Amino acid sequence: MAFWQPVLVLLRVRAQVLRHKMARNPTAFLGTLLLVAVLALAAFGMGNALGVSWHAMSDRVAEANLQRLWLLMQGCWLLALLVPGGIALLGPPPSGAAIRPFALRPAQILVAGVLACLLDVPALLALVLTLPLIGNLLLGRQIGQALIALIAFLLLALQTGALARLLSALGALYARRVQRWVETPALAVLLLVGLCIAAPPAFASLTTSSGQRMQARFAPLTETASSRFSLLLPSSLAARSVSAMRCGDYPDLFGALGGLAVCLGLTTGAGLLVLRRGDNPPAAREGRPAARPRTRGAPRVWETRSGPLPQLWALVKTEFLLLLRRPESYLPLHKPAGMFLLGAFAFLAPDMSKDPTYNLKVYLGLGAVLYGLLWQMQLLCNRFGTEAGTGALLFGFSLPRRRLLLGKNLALFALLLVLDSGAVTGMCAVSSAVQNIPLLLCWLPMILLVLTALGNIVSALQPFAIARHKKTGFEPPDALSGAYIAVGCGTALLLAPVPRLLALGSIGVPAVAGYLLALYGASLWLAGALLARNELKLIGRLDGRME
Amino acid sequence: MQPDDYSIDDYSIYVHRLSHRYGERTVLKRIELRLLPGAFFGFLGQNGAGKSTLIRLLCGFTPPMKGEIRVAGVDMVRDPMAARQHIGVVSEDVALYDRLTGAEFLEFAGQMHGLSAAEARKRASDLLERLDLTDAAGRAIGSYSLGMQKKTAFAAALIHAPRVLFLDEPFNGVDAASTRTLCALLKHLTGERGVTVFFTSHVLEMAERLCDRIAILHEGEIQRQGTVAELKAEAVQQGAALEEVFLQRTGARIAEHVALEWFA
Repeated sequence: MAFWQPVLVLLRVRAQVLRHKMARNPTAFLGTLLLVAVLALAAFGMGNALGVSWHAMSDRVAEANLQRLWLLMQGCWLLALLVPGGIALLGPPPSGAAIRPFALRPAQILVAGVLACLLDVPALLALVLTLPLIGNLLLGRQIGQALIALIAFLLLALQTGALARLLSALGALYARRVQRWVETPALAVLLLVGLCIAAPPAFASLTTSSGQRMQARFAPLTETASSRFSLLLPSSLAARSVSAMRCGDYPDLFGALGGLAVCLGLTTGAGLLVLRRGDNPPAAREGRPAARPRTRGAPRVWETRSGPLPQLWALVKTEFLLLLRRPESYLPLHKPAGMFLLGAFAFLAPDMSKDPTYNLKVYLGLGAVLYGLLWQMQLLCNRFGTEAGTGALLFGFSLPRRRLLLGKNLALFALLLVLDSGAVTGMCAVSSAVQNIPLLLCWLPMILLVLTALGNIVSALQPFAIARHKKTGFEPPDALSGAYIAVGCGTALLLAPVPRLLALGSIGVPAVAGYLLALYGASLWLAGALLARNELKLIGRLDGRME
Repeated sequence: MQPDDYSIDDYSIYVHRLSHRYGERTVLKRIELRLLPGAFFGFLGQNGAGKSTLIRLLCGFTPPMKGEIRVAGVDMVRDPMAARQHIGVVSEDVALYDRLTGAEFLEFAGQMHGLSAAEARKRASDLLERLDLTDAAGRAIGSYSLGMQKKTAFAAALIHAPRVLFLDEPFNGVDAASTRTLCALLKHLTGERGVTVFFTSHVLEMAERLCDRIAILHEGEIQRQGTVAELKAEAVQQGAALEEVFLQRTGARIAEHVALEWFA
């Protein structure tokens, strides 16, 4: 009991945090539940398609399809756990600093983390994916196979939880060293590794036999393709155990299950090692020679006082750095990334039958786009909301408020343009709609400009801090969800004249440019006037003082 | 010349009949202050006495309910932008961008105050060296200790050479070495550069060491104001230590029963 009590307390704390989150923002929670419902339908369809056709497949084909399904499941599961603010409701594990004062063993922290992974929403989706297969096996009186499938799934689930905890601890170690968040490189590595494993059946059919051209979708497997590297993947071992039971090959069965247990053990051991390392952070950080400030040559054109342009540039540069570095910013920037990846996986998933749930992938893609936009609205409509306790600092400068807003707009606009262009291009590529890319890339800057313009007005009218890490006690009103929807509708209305202007021929493009810039200019003027009126309220809210 | 012989514009901080309320609660009542350039003024009081509120009013972050505030000769209520060009602020909860390096943050602060990039860089480098932060300048502020963060906040408040400095509990949580450095810097600024320092604290020893004049604030009112020598003389007359006078003036209650029976 001495071992388990702290573990249960850690789990209970995360459940309490979840309860508070749900109470604070029920709209976001409802959105997540809706997304989970859609994903559950898709997962059930995939699992059921395999379960129904299991008996008709040969042993090797069945194994290959199950391995592919479970590889996809494990990949999506890890993504959902590691991407911040995704469908994993229990959230990230408590930080090392928070639990260090307590006498907790690394094993307890690891077990609590693994159990939390198993109790979270992605685990439910994984179960929904696997249960149809087990159910079909039971209906076909294949009790042995069903039991082995369940055991293999449980071992795979534990291994996924341990792997997620290990990666999370590694990320925390790395982030502490370099003071950068690691989700982007982690996601990129995950995707790259997945794409580079060309041998396993899950990704082999992405290439055609003539040349190595990528296909957006692949057909159900009728033959197996394997390599010695893929045989050692946990999903391969799990699938082999079920296949071995099907063939009655008991040595292979126990070998596969044993291998899976070894994978689990290795992952757990690595996790314990990393957690122990995290308990004793290197003291060298204090004494490590840090980079000296870069010395430059003689002063350039401006001597002491500068004009508005250098001031604006300083603001843009700093805002850009903060958007990329602040935790309050990376949620709105990363949530779309996770959803886009899930959407992309939906398009890449095996089309194993005519199951109508596969039509959901189009809606999933569209949903991912809207979901991403909704999250980016947080940044667009809260231009001062990322200051988190530094409202007094920012407004303490004697800088014209419109110039302040312009600098912030420029930085965010540039960043979102790059990110959203990449996302739009990627989604078009995986959904075989490559011909839409040029048109969408032309519309994107116009949409972002109008969103920015409307966001300025919302920022000045209803300021609040997106995230509070110093002072608590003030949360944004739920009505902001309505504001975001209003901004979206307003954007659509304001963009309605654009096609008509473009139809004017040679003067169409300058007319559109003039129209959009005038819109933006008007929003800047209006927001400046509103800021002059609301500035003190803004400072008070950003600094957590309600007066 | 006596303080009353000066005109309003001679004072670096001029406060007249300042009052402020939060809802039904009056937090400041008819505060009067006149500080000349080069003054080092300490504002003492218990937690919740109104010190931070006063600083917020003097910095123009909140308009007062009643009263007049002029800083560096500029009316803070009518033209806070112009007044802010002459002030530097170090707040109690250091407001810094955790994800910027020390050097980046100071250059940003300098440029936001209107300095050219080159000048901001030069002054940032100078301040980092003076405050012994050169080695940490390339690291993110979030990795700094509290003392280093306070020094960075000081540097940001000084980079544009303000005429008036507002310091709200500046030495809370700061180690002795950093405190010594900051005190030396402040003494130099007031003694040799004519900068006015307005400093709040609840630690009497600090105020005794640094300040020319002290005011004791309790329940929104100034209970006593004068030079350190005057207050000490009053304490001697009462046969008490200065700390006793302070505790008496601020109505502090000392807990008598502090034993924890269940403590092994």
